[in-house]
Amino acid sequence: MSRLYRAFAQPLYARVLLPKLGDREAAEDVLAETFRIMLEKLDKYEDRGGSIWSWLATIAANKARDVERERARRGQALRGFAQLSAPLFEAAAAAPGPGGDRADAARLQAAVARVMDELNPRYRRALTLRFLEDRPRAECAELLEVKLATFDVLLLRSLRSFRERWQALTSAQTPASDRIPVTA
Amino acid sequence: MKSHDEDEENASAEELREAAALAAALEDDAAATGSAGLADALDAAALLRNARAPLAVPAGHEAIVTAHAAPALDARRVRRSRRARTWIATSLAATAAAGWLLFATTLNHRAPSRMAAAAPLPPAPADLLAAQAEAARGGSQTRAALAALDLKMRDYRRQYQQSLRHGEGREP
Repeated sequence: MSRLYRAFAQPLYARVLLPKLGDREAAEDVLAETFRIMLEKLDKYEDRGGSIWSWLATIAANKARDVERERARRGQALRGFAQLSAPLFEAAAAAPGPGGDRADAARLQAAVARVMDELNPRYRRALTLRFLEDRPRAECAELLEVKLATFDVLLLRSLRSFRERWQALTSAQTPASDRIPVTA
Repeated sequence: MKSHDEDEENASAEELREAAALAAALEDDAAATGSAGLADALDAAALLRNARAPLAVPAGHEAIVTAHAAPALDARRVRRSRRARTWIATSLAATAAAGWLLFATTLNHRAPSRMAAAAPLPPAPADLLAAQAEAARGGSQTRAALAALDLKMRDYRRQYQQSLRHGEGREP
């Protein structure tokens, strides 16, 4: 159990659960549940054979989907970013290797920094204050010397601009032929 | 307040509504009802929020996972030991059955020799031999001698059959 945890917990968390759920606490809960299910079904898996990474990633993805459905049912707004991060991780090897967690985080942060550099400086400032520095909305508006409602519009436009450039960057980085699926 | 925001102030009514919905969703984690564009903006916000810190499982989370999975781990141990016990019992039973089969087969092969040992005729009693001699002599008393011989032979056969039955009833 401990060996499996050390080998797979981090990549499951960083590549599958956190991107799908967008929330660290929920990702940690589903990670624990994934290992519980893994122990319950390990005998059947051993009989069937196959890649343990693909098997665990499938269990984790299914559990994350259950949580997403439950959130939708309760009307919660939390969203994941799997659609955005998938091209980055798919460009890496399908099965995680040693140090893969640090590589994943570094790849994501480098891509974010590159997209931020390309943004309009006002958009970059708004996103940095609100998300990277995690400042309250009112404080962001004050620092940018705009009204609150104006900051909301600025933030919406900044996020749209970020997303557009992110998609352009990641699709340019990873030709479809090089993509390797993260999950089975 | 110095105005750096003329462009944003000229936003359309729809964009203002979406911006307000985005702000509410980010602040209160309330469901954002709006366009697909708003959902896309929330995805980008989730990416940025998670990019500010390493995508790492917190230290000490392994203990939480171990505690959460403990019942499944125990159940797995029980299943494995039960399977081992079943395997040992099955192996022992198979070995015992094979041994018994071998023993029974050996006994069956040896049984004809035991029957053969029971087969020889018991020695004829003296009165039977005398009755035979009387019957063989012939003469006027032949019919009576044959009747006496017949009685003696019946006794002898009965005695022989009893000895056979006694031999068969013995435990191997």
